[in-house]
Parts: sequence; structure tokens; C-alpha cells
Amino acid sequence: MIRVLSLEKAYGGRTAVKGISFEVHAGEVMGLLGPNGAGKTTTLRMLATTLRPTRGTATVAGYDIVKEPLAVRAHVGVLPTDPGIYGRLTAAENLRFYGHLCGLRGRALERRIDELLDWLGLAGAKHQRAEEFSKGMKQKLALARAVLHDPPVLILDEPTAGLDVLSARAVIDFIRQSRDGGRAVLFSSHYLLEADRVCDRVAIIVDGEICACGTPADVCREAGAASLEDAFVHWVARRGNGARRGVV
Amino acid sequence: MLRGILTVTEMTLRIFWRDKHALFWGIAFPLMLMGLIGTVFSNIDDLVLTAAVVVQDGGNPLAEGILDALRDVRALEVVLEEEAAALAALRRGDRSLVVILPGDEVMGAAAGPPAAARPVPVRVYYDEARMQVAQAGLAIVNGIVQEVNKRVTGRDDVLVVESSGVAAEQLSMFDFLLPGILAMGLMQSGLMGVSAVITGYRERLLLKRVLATPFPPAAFLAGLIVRFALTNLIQGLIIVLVGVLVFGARVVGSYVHLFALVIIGSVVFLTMGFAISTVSRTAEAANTLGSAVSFPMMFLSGTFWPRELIPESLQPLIDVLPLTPLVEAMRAVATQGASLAAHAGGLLYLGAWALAAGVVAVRRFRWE
Repeated sequence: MIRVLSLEKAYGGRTAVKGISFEVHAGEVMGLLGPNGAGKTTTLRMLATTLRPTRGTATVAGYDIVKEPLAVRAHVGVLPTDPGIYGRLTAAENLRFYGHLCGLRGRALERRIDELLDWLGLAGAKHQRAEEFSKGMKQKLALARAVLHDPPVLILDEPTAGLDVLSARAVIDFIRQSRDGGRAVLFSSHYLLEADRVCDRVAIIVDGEICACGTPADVCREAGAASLEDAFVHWVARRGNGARRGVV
Repeated sequence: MLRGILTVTEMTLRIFWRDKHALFWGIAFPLMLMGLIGTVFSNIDDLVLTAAVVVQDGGNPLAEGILDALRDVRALEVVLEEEAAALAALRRGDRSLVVILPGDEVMGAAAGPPAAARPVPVRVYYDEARMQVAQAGLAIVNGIVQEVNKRVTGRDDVLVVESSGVAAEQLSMFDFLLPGILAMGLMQSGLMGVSAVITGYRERLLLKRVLATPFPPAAFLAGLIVRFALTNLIQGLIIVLVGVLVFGARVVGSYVHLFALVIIGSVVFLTMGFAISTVSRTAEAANTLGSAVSFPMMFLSGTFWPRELIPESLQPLIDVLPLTPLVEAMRAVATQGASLAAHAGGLLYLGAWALAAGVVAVRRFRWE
């Protein structure tokens, strides 16, 4: 569903993403893990087509991110770090607006809105203005917006950042259900415990390069670590001595 | 595409109507300004000056004659007072001027041969801080004294002024203000409203969200432009309705031409607002920059008072401000029944501003 080949992004004199390659398959959750400034968000933005790569290529749902961005956007649901909700619109109005932007209309859209709000526990807040929502509610609304058009691919940037335990768990459950429904899910996170629980595979990215890639167990074994957190620390420390690129 | 534009327009209109801040500055503020300024200056034609008159030495026929003449002037309210009290009241601002009528020495001067007479002063005190009022009062007293002089000396004038007022229509202060307030509203909507909204959307990453959808970004911007044009038309309609129905303003010319100017003004200031949004990082910065650009225009371009009242040294600046031709065209249509063609030059100048701002906006616009 997602194929990345030697993707690179340079800003002036600095290369944020240095020729990374990986794949995410349908019915799979892949976690992109790394310290701040590692290149996680840059990678996700390139795949979401909101940032143009300097070099390399990638396809999302079979469409090239550079040559066919509109087709990519029609097949991907994106959750950025900032949910970007219109505060003066209600939950339903926010979803209706984005539904229209994605070409959805009429009763089918209304049914989909009700279904998603119900699924995410926001049915009672359907007609409430988003500016009155808690952070967790806004995140759920943003998730609903991301899957409104039933995309086969989800790209989520730190979906549980700043959420309380219950809201974070609801988001993780959502990710699992999306995976079980056949979607390819790529998400970035700082929370390694959470990644360990939900990810089928992880890629550790440090300084724009993938140091390790595989199942959490494989990554731990390769690092000689007992936990994903220890493996993460190991690879970040090794990066200073020159790390290999992980390629799938 | 059209459907998408309408979707964006509908959504952003909904947000606008729920924004009390935007509604206040867009609609309530211009109306409040119009009401306040119009009410304060609405009696300017019925100005009455309070003149304290001091009668010395118990009075004399000549002084009585001057006093009677002063009392006959409709614009003067005459109050008899002692000199000290009158001057104290003038300093407090309770009197517009103080007239000290001549004492008994004036009778001697009037009786003697004209060639040998030394003029007896009719002293007039005025407040230098209110020169316009003082000049009106001085003109009245001068006129009366000249007339008395003529009768005392028995000389007929060689030259006399015959004056006639010429006005196509009788204008009230609200008639004058309405087009200015209308133009000001369009300017504020563009320079402060549009710039702050676009920059705010960018700041809150709402513009970037659009890029992540299959929706054409240009259509999103088109929807925003339609929304602002619509709210400007509605704002203009409300200002004209309230101005005409509540404040009694009159529009002599064509309403079609007036609203055509609303559309032209919208386009100009919308594009300028977009241009401002490209150089502002935050909504607050956009608002500040928009205010810095709009405030001088608000006070210099003839919005509230004729530009002739502004010093000559500032007139060249007034000529280049984009609000000036819009105010002039709107006022000409509203108060003189002028056509748009009569202001073609000014409208072309506005078009040039729109083009320049549009180039800046297109080249510099960023979605994040």
C-alpha cells in the first residue's frame, strides 16, 4: 500500500530525510519512531503529498506521490499533529465540510458522519461547536475526518500526543480496528510502549536515516535489547558512530 | 469545482456569522461611527453662539443700537453681563465671545466732524482655542459695526456684495457621511478582515489541511473570495439601509452604481488584504499591519470630513491613497447623482492598486 524508495528531502543546506526506503502493507500497522527532528513528520508529509520530496519516489495506494498527488489524497486519510478543526463549526459541520471537499454528499455522507461519531463516542457532541471540545475530543474528530472517505491508507502523526489515558486508548483501539479492517496504517510516535503494543512493524529513524526496521521483536533482538525502548536508545546512540540503513 | 466553491463559501459564511468580533467590526462599528459623527455634527448649520455683551456707563443710544442689532441676529444668543464675569465665563468655555460696547465717549466721537474722529473701539474677546466659532462671531460683530459706522457717517457704499447660495441638493451631515462610511467599511473588511482571517487559517494550519484533501486549492481560495465579497455586499446593504431609514440619509444617484462601487471597492481591498496576509506570520500581525495601512486612509481620504479641511502639505499624499478615489466616486454618486463614467480615472487607479496587490498576493501566497 505504501512503497517508499530512496526518499529524500533537503531544506537549503540541511537534509532532513536522507534516502529512506520502506513498505507498509494492507492490514498492517507500521510505527515510525525517532527522536525530535529525526525526520518523521517530514516523511509523513511527503507521503501525504503536502511536501514535495527533493529526490526519490514513493507510491501510496498505487499512486505516485509526485506525479499523482490528487489521486494519493483521495486514497489516504491524514491526521497531522495539529488537528486543524474549525472551532466555530459543530462536529457534524466540520465533517460535512471535509466530506464535501472529498467529494462526498447527501444522505450517504450524513450516514457516514453519524457512523463515525458513534464509533468514536462523539455522537452526543454532534451539534456542539468544536471550540468547546477537549483535546481528546478534537483528536477523535480529526480521526473521524481522516477516515470519512474510507481511505485504504492512514497516515497519522503522533496521534496520541497530549491525550489522557482513556483518549489515547480510544485512539489505539481505532488504529487496531482500522488495521483489522484491511487498512495500511503508518503512524509516528514518541510513546514506545504504545508502539510496542499496536505496531506490527516499526522503523527507527534517526537523523533522517532508518537505523532499524522490522517487527518490534526483531528490532529488539538486533539491538540485543529487552524492550523496544532499550532498542531505541541503542540505535540512537549508535547513530553517532555511523548506523546502517534499514531496508525492507 | 463550482459546487466546491459554494461549499467553501457557505462554510466560511457560517463561521463569520458566528464570530461576534467580526460582526461588531464589520457591521456594528461603522454604524456606530456614522451615528456618533452624524449626530454630533448634524446641527452644524443651526450653530448658535452665546455672546456676552457688556454695557458701559449705563448705556448710550449708539451702544443700544449695536445691542439691538446683535439681538436681531438669529445665530447669536445675547447675554448681558459685567466685564469680569463675562471674561471668566469665556475662559470657562461658557461664552463664544464677549462684546464690550463703547461708553459715553462714542457719542462725542459721533457728534464731531468725521475727518477729525478717532475710532472708538468695540472690544471683542474670543477664545483662541475655538477659532472657527470665534471667526463666525467676529464676522457678525464686524458686519454690525460697519453698518452702524455707515449710518453715523452718512456715507453710502461704493461697492456692495450680493451673495447667492448654489447647491444642487440640500445635504445633511448624514448624506455626506454615508458614502464615506460605506467605503471605510469595505477598506476595513479587506485590509483587516481578510488579512487576519487568511493569516489565522494559515497559523492554525487550516490552509494546510486543504492541501491534504483531493479538493483543488484554487477553488478553496475562490470560495473565500466569494464569501468576503458577499459579506461586503451585505455589510454595504445594511449600512445604506440604516443610513437611509434610521439617520435619514439620502442617496440622490443610482443605487446600482453605488453597489457597483461596493463590488469594485471589495475587489481592491480584498486583494490588498490577501497581499497583507502573505507578509504576516500571525493573525495579530496581519491585524496590526492592516490597521497601520487603513487608519491614515480613514482620516485623510475624506471619509468623515471634506479633504479641503486637511493641510495643503498632505494633499499630495491624499491623492495617492486608494481609499480617496473610492470615497470621491461614492460620494459623487450618492450626493450629486454622478455616473461611474465621471470617475473613470479614479476607478482605473483603483484597478491598478488591485492589480499590484494581486501580483504580490499570487507570487507570495503560502499555504503554510
